[in-house]
Amino acid sequence: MLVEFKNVSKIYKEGTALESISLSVEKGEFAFVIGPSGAGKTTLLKMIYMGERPSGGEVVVGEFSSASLSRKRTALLRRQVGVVFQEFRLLKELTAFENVCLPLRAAGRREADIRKRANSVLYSVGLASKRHQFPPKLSGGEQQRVAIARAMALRPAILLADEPTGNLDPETSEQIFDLLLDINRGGTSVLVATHDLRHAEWLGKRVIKIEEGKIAEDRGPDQCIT
Amino acid sequence: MYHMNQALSGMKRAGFMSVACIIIITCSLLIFGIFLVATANLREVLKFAHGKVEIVAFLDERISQAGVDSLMTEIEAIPFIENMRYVAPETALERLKEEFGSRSHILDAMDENPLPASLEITLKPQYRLKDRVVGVAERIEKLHGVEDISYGRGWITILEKMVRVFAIVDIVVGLIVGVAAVVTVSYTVRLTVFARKEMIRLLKLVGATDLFIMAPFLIEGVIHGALSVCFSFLVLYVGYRAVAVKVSQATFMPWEMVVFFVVFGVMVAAIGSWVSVRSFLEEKSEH
Ligand SMILES: Nc1ncnc2c1ncn2[C@@H]1O[C@H](COP(=O)(O)OP(=O)(O)OP(=O)(O)O)[C@@H](O)[C@H]1O
Ligand SMILES: [Mg+2]
Repeated sequence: MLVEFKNVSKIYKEGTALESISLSVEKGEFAFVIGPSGAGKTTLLKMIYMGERPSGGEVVVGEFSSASLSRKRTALLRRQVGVVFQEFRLLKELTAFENVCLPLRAAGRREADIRKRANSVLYSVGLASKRHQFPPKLSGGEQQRVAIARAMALRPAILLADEPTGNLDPETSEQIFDLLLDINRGGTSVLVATHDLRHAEWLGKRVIKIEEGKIAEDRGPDQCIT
Repeated sequence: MYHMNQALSGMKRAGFMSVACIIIITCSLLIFGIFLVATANLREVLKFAHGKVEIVAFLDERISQAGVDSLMTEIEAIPFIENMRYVAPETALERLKEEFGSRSHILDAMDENPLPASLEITLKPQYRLKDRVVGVAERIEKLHGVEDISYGRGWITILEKMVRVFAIVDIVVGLIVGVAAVVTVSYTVRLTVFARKEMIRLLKLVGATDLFIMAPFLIEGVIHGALSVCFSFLVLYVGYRAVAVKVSQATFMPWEMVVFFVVFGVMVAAIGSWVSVRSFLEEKSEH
């Protein structure tokens, strides 16, 4: 088991974002997280990369537990967890290539390995030819590919995507979902929070539905829509 | 090496920010430096004034040469004495004539030298305090052959008050200027760090350790601080030379003050940088 939520809740001053969530994600699994706006999808993903600590319960990711996590261990955990966002979060003063190099540098890889890996991962998202462009010169879809390449640079065990197609047109979204499925076929677990019910429903993957911070439904792959 | 590169390319990218930062730090250090030089000079003035503190013992006219010799031996035996000089009546008259300058002919009217011989006594610097001087003076006054004594009692009192007031004012002004420099420098550095908060957050997200993120900023802080120290020091020194042409007694900072100034400038910039990055690193939530 790769990710496990044990009775996790997250309470902000403003209110409860997650309430007694228990779920697990296996190695190599692909799952959608859906639910209305404000349901707690983003918060759920944050719990996995430890962007926020749970107010109650425990999140376990591989060998890491939210119960005992130093700053140093948090950094190590994040090398195992790739994250992409709706708004890409690329550094616009760095080229696509340099953006992809960041996690490798942070992990202390050797310069030659960094270049090799950055090139190969950019190639695998189909952006080898545009790797020296700066993000503002790339289309939304291309920027998201760079972001995915960056998240995959360290070969994480799991890739988290928070509304990865929220800023993209349907055709580009299609390509991004294809890329995510492709990555999953390579053995990486993928967790996608999305409003895009069409994809979530028809790809025949696991769907975790969240409503008001609780799991409303957790449907396994290829189960009939009830 | 990577961190060094990172710091340099960060500064190049920050370009204008970096230059503005160095200018502002230079200015605040300059103000602090002016204060230090002023302190050094005032201290010199006070030291000079203290050097002027001396006891003059006027001798009885009827005392023989042997009497003078034994008196001098007696005085030399008193601890705290640094130096003693015998001033013959003729020498005293010469001095007086010098002081009168062009009107010295007035003194020629006298057919006899009315001035007594005297002993000029200085105490060791650390004993030139009011109570000590008064004590020694009174002791000398009682000695056989001493007619009268003079040691500028009023002057010593004023001088000591000045030294005390100066010490307090100096510390207060120093603290104000020093704290102002620390605040200005750390806020300026903070702005340059703030400009790169996206970078810091992203590095955190992709698994960079605190040290990895902070190192380039720390190096940058040291470079900013060191450059600013150099520039402000240069301006300060040129300014000092310009003043020294007119006032030859002016002094620059003594070397231990220079060391303090350099360490202060570099440390404040580096620590300011460190603290600002830390504040971003310690943000609880990723945005
Ligand atoms: N940093 C925060 N501080 C306070 N409240 C927060 C914070 N983050 C989220 N919340 C609250 O927690 C709840 C869940 O938010 P979350 O962002 O997880 O929803 P979501 O399902 O991702 O919504 P959306 O589909 O609009 O992105 C919301 O009510 C939100 O207002
Ligand atoms: Mg969200």
